[in-house]
Amino acid sequence: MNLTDRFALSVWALFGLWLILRLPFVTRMSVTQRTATLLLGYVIAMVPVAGLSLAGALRGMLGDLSTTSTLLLSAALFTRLRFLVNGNAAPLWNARERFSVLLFISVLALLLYPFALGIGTLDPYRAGFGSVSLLLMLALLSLWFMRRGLYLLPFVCALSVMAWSMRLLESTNLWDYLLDAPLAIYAIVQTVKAMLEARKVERV
Amino acid sequence: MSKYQRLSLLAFVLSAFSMALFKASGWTLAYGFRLPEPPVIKVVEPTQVTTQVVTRSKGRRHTQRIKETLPARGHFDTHFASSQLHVQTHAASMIELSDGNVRAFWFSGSREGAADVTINSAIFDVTQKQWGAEQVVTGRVQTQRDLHRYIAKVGNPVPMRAPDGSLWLFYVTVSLGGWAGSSISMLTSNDEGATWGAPRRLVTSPFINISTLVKAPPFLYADGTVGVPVYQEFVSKFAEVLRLDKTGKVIDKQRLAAGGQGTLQPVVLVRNELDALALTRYAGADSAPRVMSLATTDGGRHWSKPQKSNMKNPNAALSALVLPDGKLLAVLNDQEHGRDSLSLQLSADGGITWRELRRLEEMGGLSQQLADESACLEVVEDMLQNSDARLQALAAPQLAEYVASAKPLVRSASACHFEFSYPYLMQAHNGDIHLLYTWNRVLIKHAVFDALWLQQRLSQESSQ
Repeated sequence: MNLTDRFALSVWALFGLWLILRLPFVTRMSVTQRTATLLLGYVIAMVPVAGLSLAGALRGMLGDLSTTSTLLLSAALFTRLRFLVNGNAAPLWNARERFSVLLFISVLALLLYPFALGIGTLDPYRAGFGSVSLLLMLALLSLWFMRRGLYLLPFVCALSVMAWSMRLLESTNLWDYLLDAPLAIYAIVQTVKAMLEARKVERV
Repeated sequence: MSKYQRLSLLAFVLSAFSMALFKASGWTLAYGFRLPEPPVIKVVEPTQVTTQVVTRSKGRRHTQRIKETLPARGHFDTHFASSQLHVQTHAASMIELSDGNVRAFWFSGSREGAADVTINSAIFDVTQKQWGAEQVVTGRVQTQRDLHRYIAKVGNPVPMRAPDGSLWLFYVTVSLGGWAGSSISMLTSNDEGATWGAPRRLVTSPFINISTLVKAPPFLYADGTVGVPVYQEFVSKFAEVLRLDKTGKVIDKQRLAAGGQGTLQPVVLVRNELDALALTRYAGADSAPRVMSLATTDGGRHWSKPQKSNMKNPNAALSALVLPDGKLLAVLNDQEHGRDSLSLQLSADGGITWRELRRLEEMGGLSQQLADESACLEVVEDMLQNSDARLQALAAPQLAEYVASAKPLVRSASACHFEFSYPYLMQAHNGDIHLLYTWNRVLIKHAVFDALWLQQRLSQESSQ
């Protein structure tokens, strides 16, 4: 198995571990039991049975996860583990940082998917194979966000761009490093939810 | 965030983008096509025949030798490329091997899209004029194991000669849903297809990498990169060209037509370094369905809007190629509905007008006439024997097995249904033209004709 496959499967295994850590009975476990459960979960997710692992099944049906998903998933896993170990439930990023990333992913998804799937003759996905304009736009956006005091989005962009340069994923297209369909759906739902909540607060 | 952290992040952002911009600066796509090597057509000399004529005069026996010159005759032969019975076969393609033989590929299984479908291959020995045994190239389970992800089914194999001389085989894999959920995987062989390496997935679409299918032969750009005509059919149906570098890595994707125009399964016909024509299957709602055509005059940088051609199209695949003299040859179902006939057509004006050279199959209208099962199966038996001389020599029980294999697909709802579809044309280096197509979804039929046959057919057509 090459590094790309190993990485892609591991990210889906991370997702599985994050789900395990949210189960109520895991919260009540001792550190040793929890570690054993996580190890077992990882093995179950990664070891193929009849030629297919659980992570492979998810990968087949939902595709490879992007660098952004990997980062957010790792952060969520870390936060959950930290909470279980020492009770610290503080998020790694504040709500403004988180919202900026989710909004960015939502906008990207709405700009990318309808056109890439066939509306009109313009295909924004094409730019992801190496368009300098796309990279410059992302670079300027990152710097602008940093100037506005938001740092998570520039980090997400830089990480995706670097992973693309190193061809860490199976894809050769930058869009696949920035976002993926499950993340896009999650981001759109969370963004809409956050906007509705903000409107509710305003009314109150 | 501290000042030190902010500076570190800024350094990371700048270095990441610098690295990416450096990489992107090498992403320059040159346009213009590489023409395939022209075939070396052997001139068939007229045959000298000597006949002995015995005459008697004045009770004596005289033997007279008469030399006669017979005009050269073109050849048109048909065979079945597949040999497995009681399976469904479809989507054949082929490539010429380094020894001049032809290797064909198709998919075969209990039914299209079934989990047991495999990509099969066989070799046509051009000297012996016969097909070898079928071998399995890959299947769902093997692909799933090698790609480390769930695979539900495999389909449409398309081979090509890679720039380094190895063979590439593109084929469709589906993990979720029907064919609209397809993506393309690629195999490589360094021994002319005897063995294949592990497949590699081509990522061609941002949405779970679904909805890219392949059907027609790839072509080369002047810089040695590869163009693969593909199509999408998830949300909407449209034709595209994938561009791969010399190692098979996707470096570009170009949309040929907007979604909603129903352009599927494009066949790219490279006419010279700058000119190419793309013909596509029509999957739209027009009541008079026609093959759609698009053209480029700048080496593939820009393509014209799709236009209706003069060729009918019942939402079925077609195949075409450019002959060395610039004429175009196409095989398609020349009808608006159904796929029960197949026609070989030629265009001498760059695809504007087409004329039929030969009706390869014609069962149109027979469906209702063959309501009686025995009459239907009798016709099937005749068709089998007329398609392959080898079957004429078969013993009755073996031939009956062929008929029994065809029966579940041909005979249904008290009628006889015929299908001749998914043609795939190729011109070999000796000038012979090979055609493969699906024969009633039961077998893969092969027709081969030489340049002389084509020439004679053209003369006949012109004189009529």
